[in-house]
Order: sequence, then structure tokens, then C-alpha cells
Amino acid sequence: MKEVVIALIGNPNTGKTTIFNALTGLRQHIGNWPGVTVEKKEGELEHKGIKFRVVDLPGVYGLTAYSIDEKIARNFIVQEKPKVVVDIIDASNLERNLYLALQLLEIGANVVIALNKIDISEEKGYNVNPEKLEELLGVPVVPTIASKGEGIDKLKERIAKSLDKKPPIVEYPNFEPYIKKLIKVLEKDEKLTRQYNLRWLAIKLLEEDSDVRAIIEKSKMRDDVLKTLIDVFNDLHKKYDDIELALADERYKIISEIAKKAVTKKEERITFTEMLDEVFTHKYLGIPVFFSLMWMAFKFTFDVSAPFSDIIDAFFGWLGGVVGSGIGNDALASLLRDGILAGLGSVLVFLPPIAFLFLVFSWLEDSGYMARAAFVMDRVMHRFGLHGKSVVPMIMGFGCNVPAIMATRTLEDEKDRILTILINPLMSCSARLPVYALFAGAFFMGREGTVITSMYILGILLALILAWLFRGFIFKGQPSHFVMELPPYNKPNWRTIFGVTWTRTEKFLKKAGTIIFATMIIVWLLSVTGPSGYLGSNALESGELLAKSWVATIGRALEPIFKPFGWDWKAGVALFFGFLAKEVVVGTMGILYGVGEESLPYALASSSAFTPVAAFAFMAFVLIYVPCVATIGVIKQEAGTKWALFALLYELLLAYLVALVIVLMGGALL
Amino acid sequence: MKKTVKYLTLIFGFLYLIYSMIESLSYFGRETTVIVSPTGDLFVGFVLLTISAIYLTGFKKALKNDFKATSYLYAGSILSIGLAILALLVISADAIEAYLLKSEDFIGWTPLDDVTSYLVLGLLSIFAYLSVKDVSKKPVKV
Repeated sequence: MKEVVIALIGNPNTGKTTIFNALTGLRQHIGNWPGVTVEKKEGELEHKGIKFRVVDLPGVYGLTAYSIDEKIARNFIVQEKPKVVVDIIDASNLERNLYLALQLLEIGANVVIALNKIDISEEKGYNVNPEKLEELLGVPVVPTIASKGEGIDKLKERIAKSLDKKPPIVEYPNFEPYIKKLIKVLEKDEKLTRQYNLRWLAIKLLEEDSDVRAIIEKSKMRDDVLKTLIDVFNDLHKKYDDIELALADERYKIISEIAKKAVTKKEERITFTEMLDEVFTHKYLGIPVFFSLMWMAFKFTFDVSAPFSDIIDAFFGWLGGVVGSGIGNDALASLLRDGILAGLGSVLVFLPPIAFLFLVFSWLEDSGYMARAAFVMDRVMHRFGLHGKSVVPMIMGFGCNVPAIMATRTLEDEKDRILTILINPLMSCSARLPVYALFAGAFFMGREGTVITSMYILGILLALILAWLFRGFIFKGQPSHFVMELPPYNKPNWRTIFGVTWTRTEKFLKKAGTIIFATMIIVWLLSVTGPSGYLGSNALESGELLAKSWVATIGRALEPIFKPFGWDWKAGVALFFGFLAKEVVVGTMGILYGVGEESLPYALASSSAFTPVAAFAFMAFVLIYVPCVATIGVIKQEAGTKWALFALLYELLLAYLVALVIVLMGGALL
Repeated sequence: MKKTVKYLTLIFGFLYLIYSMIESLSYFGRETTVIVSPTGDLFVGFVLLTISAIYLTGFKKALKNDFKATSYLYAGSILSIGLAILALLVISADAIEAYLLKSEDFIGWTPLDDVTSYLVLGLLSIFAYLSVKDVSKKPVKV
């Protein structure tokens, strides 16, 4: 079956991802665009015997190639020439969205328009006529409500029918003679004629587009084209100060005419989005509402997921018992029971809260609230020397610091970007959650929610203080101002929400099956062996034997460092292995205390290794010191070795300092 | 409509304010039981205070005949109901612990143990929500 390439494009927040998911289902794969670290999503679609490869282009407002996203989208359409470009247009924001549609027609793309969110435009009191729009633009227009899956079949139908359609030409009356004059010269180069839409090249030359200029530099008609261009510019500069702006005006004139004919306004209405935004983005109420929603998110995460954790806990307990009694060989039984099952079980028991956290965050993202969170927090961010766009990677950091650090690429200014990268590890990622849950359950029973939330708040406060310090001493200057669009609130699209939740949870499961699994085996091996050889599985139950193990040797070497906090050598070992991944801290403790996940909180609480103050200091240390090897790796990739080492060093020092302050203050107060 | 918004924002504003104080005081050891026992969680006090502030800001706007007062009643009721749904989910999770898993920590647990101030207030807020749920379907009268 022949494969046909089609592309999806649209402004940000038009529902492009929802339509991509609806078209491709689960047949998707994610990679990077060549040469850059921008995510590239592709999927497959089969319709009426035709196999389509659907490429999801980055969300863009135009195709001027000012940003990396615009460049990627434009290059793909110009060079790969997809058979159909599906432009997703937000019907509730028609005029702004049509600007991209006109630019696509300029390129000569075979456009099919998905007129999405028609329910929201109606809610706003607007009625967009798809038939009229189709007639005016000369391209198929399919009304959709992607969040409800409405119009998707019709869209597939129109895509299949439009495969060999010839796109219409958009004419700009005030510029036509000049465009035609340039085309006349350009068409003398057969190579250009073959590869590009000459009309688009002419328009871009008028706009002084540097990429198109570079194409012309290589043309055999270079001199003639440039000579004609000088003549055209001489003429146009008599009429316009800025030709690019004048062309944009021409586009908007056409758009305004189209909108006038295709849109009817019924009456002035207040929308749900306007009502909610009145409160959620309120000058004084916005921030308390944000913190209230965060508390609700964490309450849901911990309290509602608890029985599911208990089920996993019971399963591993049962499996450990079966393995322990069924295998005769002591070393093998201990490896399976005390190493793999105890270690892995104590990490997997946190799968439900992690999945629930991802679920609630995906829901907040899908509903449109996260954009409001960024908006209300922007004022706070700016005061601490951070750029408004820093908020999005910071919020993402609650999930995982690795993609969050990669998301800083949206910050154009290098200083703003590196500053945001450096403070991002202080945003408490989901991997740290098992440690908080363990210690809060062991030492702060009945106040777990508050104690865990305090860790998140501590992370945010430290991030803001450090941002302020770094801005003052390292990245001197003011962050640039931030403009962002607030998309309308959406009713939950559970398919998208569960899809995102699963993708993120899957990463945790993969980590549990690889790095955590391997570390658990190493910890077990170092616990049951020592300088004298194999100590036997009893080493995990007998403190005397365990003291002769390799792990105790490492722990004792680290013990003086952590002595001021009152932690024993087992805590040092857990933190040491936690460098690889934070989840390992809990797994390591499970092995070292020789108990299953169920008994670990009781074992910790009854041991003399931690007081509540020391436990709180330990949680803070885990929050602040290096999140994981992967995060340091991504900092190196995004900011360079120097900043990766700087992050590593400052986080270790800060973790030590904060833990020390907690212990000293706690000791003085209690 | 204007009167309804005025009364509802005032009533719910004060109810949430009272319970936010009860919750906050119980965190500091001064437990007062009015219909339901406080949770003793300071964050609950904070969230209830936030919702109270939303309703009362709506009341202030309603006094000035500002049509935006409806937005505060709407957003306040949405948050209140969201909080009540959360409370119901917690009850369901605890019921699984008590009746299905028979967890030690839940011996003798009954659903009444999890009835919190924000569950009761959230359920009452359904009346506030119903009064404004169709506002966006009607033209704005300024």
C-alpha cells in the first residue's frame, strides 16, 4: 500500500494534538526534528484503502521563520511537500488563525481546514458558516469539535478526497504587478520552478526573507532576480515605509473581508472562560486559587491512590513469601526476595500516586488551567528575575525535570534560559514523591499531605530565591517581558488525558524496570557480601552481619558527612545510590532495613536513625540534591558542561546547608 | 437574578469564612465542632478561606450592580463542588481500604468519619452552581 504524507498545522491551543490523536489513535511515534531538539510526532492513519503518514508540525502563528518552530513547519511544507496540509483553525478566534491559512496558500500547500471549537465560538455568540468559508477560501472546510470527536470522520473523508487538488491562488491587489514581475525572472531558472512555488518565492523576496534570499543566491538567475528586486523595491518604497508590514496589512484586509462574510454575531454573551478567568486570573485571588488547586491535586494524588498502593504492596508481600519458601538455594532466594522483590516492590508501590499525579496534571493541562497558572505566577516570577515563560518549565518540573529542562528552549534569551535550567531541578519531580511519602507516613502520620506539600513549597521558594541571587550576581540584567495566549477552558477529553498520563507513567515503569532494577541488584549484592565474602541472606536481618558488608563500608565512609544531621550510614548509602534515580532511595532503604515496603515506615519510625526533625531534613536533602543522572545529562546537553557542573555543585552545597539549618532550628525549637 | 447572586455570594462567603477559621484554629489545637469535626489540616483552612474570598468579592461586586458578580458565584461554586468531589473520592478510597482490603488502619471506619466541612459546603454549593450554570447561554444585560 502506497504511503501518503500529510501534515497537521495550526496556531497553539487550537486542539491540534486532540485532532492528531483522533486521526492516528495509538499508532504514533515520537522523535526529534533533524538537527534540533524539538519533538517530532508522527502517526499513521488508514482510510478507504489509503495509508497516510500524519506529521504533527509545531504550533505556530505564522510561517515567517522567526522562531525555530516556524522554521521547522515551513521547511517541512516547502521541502517535503506533503500531499495535504490540514490547518486546524480555532473558530472562536477565526481572524488570527486565518493568517496562517493564507500563508499556507501562498506556499502553494494543498490545504484542508479543520474548523475546530465551533461550540466555543457559538458559546461566544458567533456563528461561523463553514460553507461560506469554503467558498471564500477555495479550500475544503470541515467543522469539528475535536474534544468530543465530532467531525473527525468527515475530516478523514475530505482529506482523502483532496489528495490531488490544486490549491487556489491568493491575490494581493496592491502587490500583484510586482509579484508577477519577479515571477517572470524566477521562472527562467528551471531548478527553482521545479522545487518551489515561484509566487511564494516572490512574496518572500518582497518581505526580505533571509532563507529565501539564500535560495536565490544559489540560483543561476541570481543577478537578474536581484536587479529586478532593486527596481521593485525602489517603486514600493515610494508607497510604503515597511513592505513586510504592508504585505501583512494586505493579508489582514483579505482576512477581514472573509470574516465579515463568513461570521455572524448573534449577541454579546459572557462565556464560561470569561467567568472563570475573572476569578482564576484575578490580581489578588489568582495566586491563592493556584495554591488551592495544587493542594487539591496532591490530596487527590495521595489519598485516593492509597488503596491501589496497598494492593501492590500486598501482592509483593505475597510473592516474596512464596519465593522465600519455594526456593532452596539461600543466595538465589535472597536475591529474588530481598533484592529484586523487596527493592522493586518498594518502588512500584508508588506507581499509583505517580500515575494519579500525572493524571491530575494532564487534566489541568487539558482543561486550559495550566496556562492560567503560568499567567498568574508570571508577576511573582518577574520579581525574582525570571522570565514569564520560565513558569511553564517550572510547572513541568513537578512531573519530571528532564522534559522540563528541554522545554526551556522556548526562552529566546540565553541568560533567561540558563537561569531557568539551573533552578529547575529544585522543582520537586515525581521521583522524589516516594521518599516524601515514606518519611511523611513514618514520622508525620495524619499530617502527610501538609508535610509533603511543604516540600513542594520549599522547592519553589528555594528556586525563586536562587533565581534572584543568580540574576543579581551571575546573569545581570532584566528578564524580557512575556506575552502569552490564554486558550479557552475545555471540557475534559479523557482520551487525551489518559493518553498523556500513560505516556508519562510508562517512563516511570521503564525506569523501574531498568535503572532501578539494576541498582536494587547492586545494593543487594553489596549488602550480602563484604570483604570476607558472601555473608548470607541473614545479613539483611542481622545488623551485626550487615555491618560487615560492602554497603556498610560505603556507608561508614559517608557517615562523617551526614553526622551533623544525625542520620546513620544507611541513609548515606540510600542518598549515594539516589544519585542514579531518586526512587532508588526508598528501594535501598527497603533492602538495608531488611523489611518489605509495608513495614518500612514502621521500621524507620522505630529505628533510632531519625527523629521527626532529622526525617524532615532528610526529605529536604532529597528535594535539593541532584535529582538524577539523567537531569544532569540534560543540563549538559542544553547548557553545556560548565553549567552542569555548576548545578551539581550548588545543589549539593544547598542541600547540605538547608538540611543543617532544619536540624539546628528544629533542635533549638523542639 | 441580581438578588440571587447577592444573597448566595453573601451566604456562601460567610459559611466558608466561618469554616476556614474553624479549620485553621483546630490546626493550632483549638478544636470546635459545628455539625462536622474539623480535619485539623491548615491547608484546608487556606482553601476554604480562598473560596470565601471569591464569594465575598462577588458579593462586593453584586452590591455595585456589577454583572461580573456572577463570575465569582460561578467560579466559587465550581471550586466548592470540585472540593466536594475530591472528598467523595477520598471516602471511596477509604471504603476500599476498610471493606475490601480490610486494612488495619481502617478497622471500625465508617463513611461518616470522612464527612468534612468542605464536603458539606461543596454539596450545598450545588444550589449556587445551579443558579448560574446557564448564564453563558443568555445574552449579557449590562
